Amino acid sequence: MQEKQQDLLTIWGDTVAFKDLLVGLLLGGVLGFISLKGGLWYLQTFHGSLEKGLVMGYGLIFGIAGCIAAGAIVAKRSKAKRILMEEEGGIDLDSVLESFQINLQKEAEYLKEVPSDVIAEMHQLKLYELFAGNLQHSKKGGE
Amino acid sequence: MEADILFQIAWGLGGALLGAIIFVGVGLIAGTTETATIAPATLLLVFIGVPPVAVFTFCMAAVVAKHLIHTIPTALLGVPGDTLAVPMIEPCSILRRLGLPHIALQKMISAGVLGAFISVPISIGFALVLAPFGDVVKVWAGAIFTIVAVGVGYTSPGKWASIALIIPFTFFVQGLNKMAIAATGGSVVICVFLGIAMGPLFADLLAALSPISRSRVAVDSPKTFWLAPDLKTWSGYFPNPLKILSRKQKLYTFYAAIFSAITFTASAVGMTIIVGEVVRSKIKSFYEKVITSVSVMNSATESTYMAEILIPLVAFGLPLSSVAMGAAFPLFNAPPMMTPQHNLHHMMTTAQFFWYALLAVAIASIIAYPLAMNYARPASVWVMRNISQEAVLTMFAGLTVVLSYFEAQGAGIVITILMGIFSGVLNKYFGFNVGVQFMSYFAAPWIIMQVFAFK
Repeated sequence: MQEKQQDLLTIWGDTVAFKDLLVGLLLGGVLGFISLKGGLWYLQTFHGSLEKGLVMGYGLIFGIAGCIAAGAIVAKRSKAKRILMEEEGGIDLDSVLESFQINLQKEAEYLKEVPSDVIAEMHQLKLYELFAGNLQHSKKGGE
Repeated sequence: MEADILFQIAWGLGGALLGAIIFVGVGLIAGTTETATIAPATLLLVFIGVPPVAVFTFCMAAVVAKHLIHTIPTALLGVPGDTLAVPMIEPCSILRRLGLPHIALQKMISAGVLGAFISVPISIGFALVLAPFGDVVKVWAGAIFTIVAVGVGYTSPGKWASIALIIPFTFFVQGLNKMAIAATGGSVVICVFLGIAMGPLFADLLAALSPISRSRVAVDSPKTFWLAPDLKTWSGYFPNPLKILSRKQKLYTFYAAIFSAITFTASAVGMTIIVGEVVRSKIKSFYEKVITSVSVMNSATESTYMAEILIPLVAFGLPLSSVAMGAAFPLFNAPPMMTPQHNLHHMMTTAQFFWYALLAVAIASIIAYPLAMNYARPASVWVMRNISQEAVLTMFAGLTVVLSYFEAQGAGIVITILMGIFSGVLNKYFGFNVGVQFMSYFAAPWIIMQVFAFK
């Protein structure tokens, strides 16, 4: 209920609360910029003898530190909005595959040409059933 | 004599250890470009006056360690670890949605180790025998990028629309470049990369801000992610990269190293993208295609860098590649210690380059590889539970502002935003995907020259 009030959106493939995102984007940009400019000012003022290339390189490190700080502040304020499943079958991977616009019937056919070492790997990752299962689904659908 | 050699080896070892340890840490920080971090650090060592072998091993180990560890933010968070990781964002995002960020990380880093090792003998061998053909590649690079752009466009979701968009896109990119030159006197690279990489974010944000399109991105509940079981096929602390990769992945990694050596004068990012697209076109099955392409692309980030540093260094002593002009520039030119007439090319023998490059790769791999391999899945779980997408995008927005400003001041920020909006809309609504966009960007000067006869 609370999540709905947060105005959830899918941005770049993951869930965000829109207000939190806008605040975060602004904070990241501003804090990163101020850190870079502040770092450059500090280096040029107090370490004037440094090579220009080194000043720029170190200045960038200040800027990146600002970005990380902004990320940490937002991570603290805004909790991850994901449901993480570690159990097999916990998520509808079929719909994930559909979102990639994969031709599932063709995909299952391609599996026949996949080398055995990759097939074994897919079995271990519980992926083989997903792709091969789709062949069975689509055959049933066709019938 | 023996004492001299031992002394030199100790310096070489020390340089490699220092480079690897520092850049394992730096590699974890997303967005730290190679040129902005490795070049100043190497420059510092040159000015301090450490022996040439230590400068060389430091730079090589830094490159290898950074490109191994940049897989962590790239695969787990979806934030590019550095410039060369940008093309891997899209396939990594697919693998994350399939619950495989840890597998992506393990495969990418294993291919990286393998690519780094095999590119040393290939690059040195190429430097000795085939380097004169480097100029030919340079002359034809534009045409090669154009052909690949058309090929990639046809296989992209946009198909004919993508092909039709190549020329308008190259015009747009060149226009932005002219804007940067007018404002700062120099062209832009990082701004364009960031704009293309962040395109989908811009498209989603605009959709969210418009009442007409908001429903496309609005959801009722948080997204569910599944994390596949761990795939630990090794015992003990040190995995064997040869056992982590499939036969095809090893073979493509080997081909990528040869391709990187042949094209050592071309852009490292461009080559990484071409390698990924070629692999993608060769494999049909979805999982095998995505995991193999992302692995081989990461190996190409290592092999392109190795080739672009080693070949010009060993064969010419002149910075004839984009990497030699960037991250490795202090090895060629850092007056008064290094000049085009007296640099590492003149201070070290070919045999020294070979053995010390291998030493640097070995040290960087020993430090970075097992660490990332053993903790890939727990790290994925931690990231998914504790790092919100808002925090990731906050950091990404900050990096975009910082890196764009770093490259072209205020004009850089404007260029990145324009690029992001344009490329994001074309990607999202017309299927003109990131691969075609990158290829079109590299082909832009050649296309504009051939079609409209101006630079």
